[in-house]
Amino acid sequence: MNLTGTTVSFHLLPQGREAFREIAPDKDVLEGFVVNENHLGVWLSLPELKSANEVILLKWEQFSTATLEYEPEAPGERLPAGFRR
Amino acid sequence: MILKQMQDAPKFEIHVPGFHGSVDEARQAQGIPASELPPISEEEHEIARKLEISDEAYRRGKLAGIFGHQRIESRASALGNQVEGILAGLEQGYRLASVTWNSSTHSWTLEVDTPQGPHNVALSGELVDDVLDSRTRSQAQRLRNMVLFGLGRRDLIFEKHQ
Repeated sequence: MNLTGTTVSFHLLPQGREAFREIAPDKDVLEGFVVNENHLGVWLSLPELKSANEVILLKWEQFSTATLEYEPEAPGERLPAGFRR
Repeated sequence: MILKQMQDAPKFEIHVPGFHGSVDEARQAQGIPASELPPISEEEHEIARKLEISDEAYRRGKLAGIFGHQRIESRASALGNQVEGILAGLEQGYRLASVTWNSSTHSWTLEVDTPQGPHNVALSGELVDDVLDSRTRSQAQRLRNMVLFGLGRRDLIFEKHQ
């Protein structure tokens, strides 16, 4: 699943809690908007960061799992297929 | 008919530099009669000669590139229409000026006029493919979020959580 563009709750491991201690003190779950993801981890925009242009890296090894909202969707309208008379 | 085309024409500019034929488009071009292939210039004829391919093979390659160009332009238009819908939901002063395809980075650049001046928003090709191919609300929401983030409107992304 590609997370970029979604808001995700990350369950921090002890090393993650330590890394984010100053930005989000005493938080086991960090909710952030994923701006990008790469081999290092996910780059987040957080409401806790003062600047709207600032993003921060949450490394893959700093969280145990992640949750996000998922809404089942009805099938979209299909384009007509076949022949016309 | 011309009037209808003018009405349907996007209000934003579309930039798709170069030719981008895929394997499918090359196959499609193979099925076109030689009489319907695009002409080539003297310069292109010279290139074909240096590549040691026939003029017809070169013209088929050129046609595949034209098909690819049209495909990407059509996706640019679809992307721009969706972005216009997103901007329409913001306060006045936001307008999509252009949509540009960057083949070297497989990404899109949107140029948006905002009350603070022009902003460029970069979107990955993967994200845009997901949005255009799936046509689901969740993918449209990802696009909306990335556009808002690119415009510095983080407040609107987090508003439902605050």
